[in-house]
Amino acid sequence: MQFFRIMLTAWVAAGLSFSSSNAIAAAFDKCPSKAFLIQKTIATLYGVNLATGYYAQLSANLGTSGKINAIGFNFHDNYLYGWGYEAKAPVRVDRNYKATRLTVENLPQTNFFVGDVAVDRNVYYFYKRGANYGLYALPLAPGDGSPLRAKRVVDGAKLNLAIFDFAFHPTLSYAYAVDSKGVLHEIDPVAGTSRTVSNVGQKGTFGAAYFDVNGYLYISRNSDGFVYRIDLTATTPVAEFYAYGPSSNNNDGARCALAPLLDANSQIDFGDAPDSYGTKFSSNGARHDLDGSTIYLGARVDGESDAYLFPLSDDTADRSDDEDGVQFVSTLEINEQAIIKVTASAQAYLNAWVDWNRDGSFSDDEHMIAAKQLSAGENSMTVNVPFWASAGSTWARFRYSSTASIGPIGGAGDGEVEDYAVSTVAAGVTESWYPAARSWSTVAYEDNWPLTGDYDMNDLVMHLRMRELRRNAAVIGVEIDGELVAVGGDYHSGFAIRLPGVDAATLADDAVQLFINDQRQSGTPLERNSGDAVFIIANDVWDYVSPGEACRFYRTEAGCEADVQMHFTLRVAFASGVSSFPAAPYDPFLFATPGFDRGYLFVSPPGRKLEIHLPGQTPTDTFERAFLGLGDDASDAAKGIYFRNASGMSWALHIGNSWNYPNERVDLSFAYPPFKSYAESKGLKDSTWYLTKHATPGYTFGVKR
Amino acid sequence: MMTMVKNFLLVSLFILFAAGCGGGDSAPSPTTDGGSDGDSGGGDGATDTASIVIPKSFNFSTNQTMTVDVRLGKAVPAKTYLTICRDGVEGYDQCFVKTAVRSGQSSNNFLLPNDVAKLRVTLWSFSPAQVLRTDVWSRDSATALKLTIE
Repeated sequence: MQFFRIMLTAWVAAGLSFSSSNAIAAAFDKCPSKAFLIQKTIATLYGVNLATGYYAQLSANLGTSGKINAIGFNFHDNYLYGWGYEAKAPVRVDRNYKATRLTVENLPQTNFFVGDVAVDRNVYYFYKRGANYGLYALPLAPGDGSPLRAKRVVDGAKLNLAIFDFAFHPTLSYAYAVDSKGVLHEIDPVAGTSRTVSNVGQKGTFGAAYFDVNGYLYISRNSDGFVYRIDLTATTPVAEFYAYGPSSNNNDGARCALAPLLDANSQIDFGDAPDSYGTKFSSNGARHDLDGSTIYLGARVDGESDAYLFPLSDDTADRSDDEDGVQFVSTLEINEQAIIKVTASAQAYLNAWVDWNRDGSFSDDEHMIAAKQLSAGENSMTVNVPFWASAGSTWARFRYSSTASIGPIGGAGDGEVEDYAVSTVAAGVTESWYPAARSWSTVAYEDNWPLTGDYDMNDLVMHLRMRELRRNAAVIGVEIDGELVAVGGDYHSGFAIRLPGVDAATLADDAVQLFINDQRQSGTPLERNSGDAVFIIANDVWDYVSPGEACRFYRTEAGCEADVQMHFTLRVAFASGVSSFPAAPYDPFLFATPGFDRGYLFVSPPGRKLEIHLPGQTPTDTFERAFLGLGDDASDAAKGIYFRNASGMSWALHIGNSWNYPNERVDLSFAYPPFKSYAESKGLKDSTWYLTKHATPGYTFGVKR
Repeated sequence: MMTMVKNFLLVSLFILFAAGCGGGDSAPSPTTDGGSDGDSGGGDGATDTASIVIPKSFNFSTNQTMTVDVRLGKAVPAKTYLTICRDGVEGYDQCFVKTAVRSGQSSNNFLLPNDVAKLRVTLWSFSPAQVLRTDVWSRDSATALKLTIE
């Protein structure tokens, strides 16, 4: 708790300076981004981050035994001003949070709870309805040394507003307030008039009002602490829920209207789902303040200045995956129960949504878990997948906070948001993966066939995983994810996947979808001139990657560790189901890109007719069989053996996990010494030769010496 | 003698140039065993993979097929859930099998990587969501790649 208090004070102090030793306490040293909120019958001052609703007590002793209300931040001198109930007079609050009574002439004998300091002039305005009161102006720097003197602008019968606070716009010369019926008023403090702008759609006592530098008005409702944002540039401004702030029966707020809402060093946790779900800060995305918070999901939470959207989430960018609190134990099968396991750091409340209808947003009927209190540690629970859910890929959002009832967007003062890409399947459908839901297998090729290569096995390296959907044992759909992890050859090569034994003629064009870097590709990847279904993923892998400055190859050499630049998803639906389906990883193969030279054995570019397959696979119908036996190839078609040299070595390998392939020009058997005995023994010895622990240090990509 | 040295240098330079061209769009030299990325080799004492004698019937697989049979009958709720995951790995994203078990009966095959020595087999109930039983399967040379849960 002590740590919490220290943290609270620390972020507010970021806007302050303690450099002065002047006995007359100094002003705040800059226009702070955080808002001030004053509550309680003995004035207690809080700092509030309007972006999240996070608040921290700054002082419970402002030097008065009474309330302070009608506060405003004065941009001209960087002090807070308000109305002191004990003195029945305006007070000035310094950076040490001490209130000093101002000596002011011509004050009415009453107390005020509505007030703010104008931005375009150094004048404190305070207001109370009723004929005996009204709107008063108090110039704070008369300039001629004369005493401060209040002037009534208009009486409170003429300007008759049931408001509880107002705030000055940063650039317009008006103050704005929302009354208890939700009516937004624009007040001209010079003329003493007002006009109705709109009804913002929310009712209640809005005891605190603030502006940010972009001209958004924020109002805080006393009863529940909800902070709403109002865009005054809209034709009909409405209140949009924005954050969960502190509730109170006595509230007043102030903020430097010229400050942005967020500091550059803000530590806020955002989600990473697509922005249609409300993720970015500009979209009022789900966000949680991390200051002092010990409430999170999983083992860790990290903050960002704004959301990083999938697939470039912060988990990828900073390689710190904090989406680690939720485990989907079972499949999300429509109209069935599912099991999830949630790990929590402390007792708090979980809310979760799944975009069941896959329309890109979370609606009320997609609120899967509502205000469920969890204990610290692992919590297993059953959830229901509705009958009306749509099968396919979608997103889930989990929010964990001390605030029980929160929505899928907006700010929260503590906790964490975690977004997950999930899949739902139709009732009666089971799913299986190869190698696992979030693991990769690896296919690696030498591209010099039919000549012997250098066997660094990195001329083309792909990660692959497969998800099969079955109904009554027949495969009704398959989804293949892949990522291009290395191109260590100059030759231009394509990449394709065949489903051996699955007739291409049974597939409709619209049954196949290919996404590259999350963009749906036009046309069909299905090759129509083959018997088996063949899907062209890329005609030339070099079209999708660049190796980096001073690099000849992509991710095969030290100093050329570019990020993975191409990933794909291939989805295929089988209308009638396939009862005899090939085993994973099916038949992924390399082919020569049409129009590019392929070495001296070919008088003209062989193009699609040149293929290189994994051991055990056969060429497709498009392959030119006259190429067999050229160069070092020792295929024996009669025995069904293809793409082997005279000693039996293949030009391609498949590894069942994410494999650290050899560096450029490093022979496989040097990089992985046990490979020799594994191969010579037909796998009876050294069957785990591919593990990093067996690699020669420094000779595989990504593993340092 | 000078002429001989000159010719030797010229030939050497030509060979170096030819080797440097590698492959790709330019045709590799028929005398080099390098791929489109240039020379082969792996440092001092490297084994030349191309020369390893490998039976052509061998398909280099790093997986083996594993069979799982569940025969729990009426001893468990009508619908339970089975997960088979790499032991020692947290979470359920790396599991090899995740499937509903109806009436206590289920049969599955999956590809087990050679390096997986232990599997964690967990049976869950739905209402409430809790683990009914957990077993650990260990690989050893005498173990058949078959898992029966009874």
